[in-house]
Amino acid sequence: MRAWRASLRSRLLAWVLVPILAVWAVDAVLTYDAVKRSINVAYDRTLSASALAISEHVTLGAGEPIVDLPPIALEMLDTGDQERVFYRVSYRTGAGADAFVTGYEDMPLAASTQRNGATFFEASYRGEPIRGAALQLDLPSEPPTTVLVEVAETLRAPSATTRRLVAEALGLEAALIALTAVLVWFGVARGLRPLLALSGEVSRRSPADLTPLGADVPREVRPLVAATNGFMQRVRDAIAAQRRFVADASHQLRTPLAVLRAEADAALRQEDPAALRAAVARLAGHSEATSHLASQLLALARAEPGPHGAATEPLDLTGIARDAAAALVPGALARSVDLGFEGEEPVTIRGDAVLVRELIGNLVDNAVRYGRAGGRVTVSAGRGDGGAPRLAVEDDGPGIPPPERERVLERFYRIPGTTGDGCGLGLAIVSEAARRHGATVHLLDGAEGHGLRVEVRFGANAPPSQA
Amino acid sequence: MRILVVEDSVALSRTISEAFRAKGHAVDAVSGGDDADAALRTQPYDVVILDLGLPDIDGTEVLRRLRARRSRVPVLVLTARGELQDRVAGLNLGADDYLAKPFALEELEARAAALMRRGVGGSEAVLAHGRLRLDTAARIATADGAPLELTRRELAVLEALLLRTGQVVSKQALFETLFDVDSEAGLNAVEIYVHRLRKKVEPAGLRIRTIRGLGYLLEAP
Repeated sequence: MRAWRASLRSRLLAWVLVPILAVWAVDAVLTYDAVKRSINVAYDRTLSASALAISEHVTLGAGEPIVDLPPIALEMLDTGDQERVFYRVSYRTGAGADAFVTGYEDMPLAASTQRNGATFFEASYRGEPIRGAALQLDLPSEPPTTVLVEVAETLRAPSATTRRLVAEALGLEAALIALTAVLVWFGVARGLRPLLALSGEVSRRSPADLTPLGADVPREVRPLVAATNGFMQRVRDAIAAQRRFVADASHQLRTPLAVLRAEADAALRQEDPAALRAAVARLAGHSEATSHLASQLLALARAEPGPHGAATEPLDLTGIARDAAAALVPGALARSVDLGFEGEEPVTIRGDAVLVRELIGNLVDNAVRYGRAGGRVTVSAGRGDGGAPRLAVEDDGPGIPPPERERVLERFYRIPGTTGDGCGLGLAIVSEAARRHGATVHLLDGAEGHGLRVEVRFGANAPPSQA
Repeated sequence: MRILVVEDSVALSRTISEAFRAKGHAVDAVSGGDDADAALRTQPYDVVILDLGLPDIDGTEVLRRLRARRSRVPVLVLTARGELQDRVAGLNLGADDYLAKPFALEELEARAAALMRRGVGGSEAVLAHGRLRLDTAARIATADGAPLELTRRELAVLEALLLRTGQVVSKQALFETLFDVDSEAGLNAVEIYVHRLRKKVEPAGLRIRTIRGLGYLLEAP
């Protein structure tokens, strides 16, 4: 079975040959039957003619029938096939027993006879199958005498003829079947040639070549080519994302590292303890910003589609949001921000717990950083319209003007005039992490028209796409 | 207190060690898992600061062997960000606390101090917070040496908050320290005890914040 599954050619051959051979077997039986029937008709005509010829020479002698057997009656049966011919004439008067007249006395009798026309019968005689014709004849006497004339013949010739004709017919069919098999065998090889060409094209490719495969393929292979091209497109996107990330990361890290180095050099040159202290304090501040940037870059790399693939385990969104918010409270309090949480009912999503935590952490961090000093930030988790899982983080700060809302999701974009040590990656991470979970990010006005409300709406029940 | 620092980065190891020495602790620093394992087999420590990414045997393996020996020495795990959730969160490794790199030195000191306070080998079972002292064995709280009139349940709430100073303690967690599983009390009962406790400890300078929807937080002194 495994080999059949492995080879298209064997499968196709089996699919074609097995039904054809079954039909051929049925056809053999039917052909044999038909040939035998038509040959019997021809022989029967001769047998009945022979019986009739004999019966015409039956006359009524002194109380019993006499047969003057004409040679022609039996010669007509001689076909030169070494057939053996038997005959038997008997009669019955009234209700009396059968009386033998001439011929082979022990020849088997026909089971029944009829008054008009011959009756044909098959039997076995002297170890050979025979077929015979029986003719009933009423002679005018008182009481009436019924004469029975039987002629039989061995079946050597009709059997041989039947076999020959059936063999000829079936032989021709077998040749056709063999021809079909050969055609299928080579036809499949020929039909598969485009596939071989395709696999050659794929195997000759350089690893960097991710351009789509040619569309010049048979219609049946097009879905495979389309799926392969789709897959290569995703790989290409992932590689492009990785390249962009490396470019961004090296560009973004180089500047703060240069600053750190310059500050360290400057601090080393300071002789005055107070000035040295101030320089080291600046160094500490910048190193913190740099490590924040590095963390954010790594979070972004994790959120982006890549070869690692996102885990998709069932998660309680409410529980994760509550834990994340609780962990962020000390940081918020340090900025005098009242960070709270709303949501009771567990809401299940499928996704990557680390990414969801990053997403929440970045939203809260943004709200705390850019919201109102001493303001309120509320994280809420639950179900939105239509019962789809929804996460929201709302602050009562200055908000983001609608024209800027699209752009703030871009990486490294910072609203003009923004102060603070943010690196412009927070919402980009949120956006990527949401996309990974098949969720959408919406930037809305906060309650009472001021502040910012960021909603992450997850698909109702849809698993996150792998794209 | 005696501290073991297991960290393969020489610069980081030196900085951590110097910070703890400056606070009067005895610090042993090793850079590999095998050395850490050997040190932990032979020396008693009050706290271990363990980096997971070690060059020879992994930090998780050091921790596993330590716990397999039924040692209860408090372990603070240091790990790269992301790795934290990846490798540690799901696994019950037996670490007492985790800190993701990069971290602020102050935070490391605070977490290590909390672990040392909690340490079973420590001679003092006293939690201190500003002017307040809580003797967890004798179940007595004092402010500037004067005893505070606290009920058994108020003491339990105070202890839970002191053990996680500066962090959110959920209402559910407080409820579980106060009541049995089959207790008839509702979550609201927690609010009553916190309210009473707050009034009694406020004069001693303790500030218990209510965190909306999350629980309570005892501010650091």
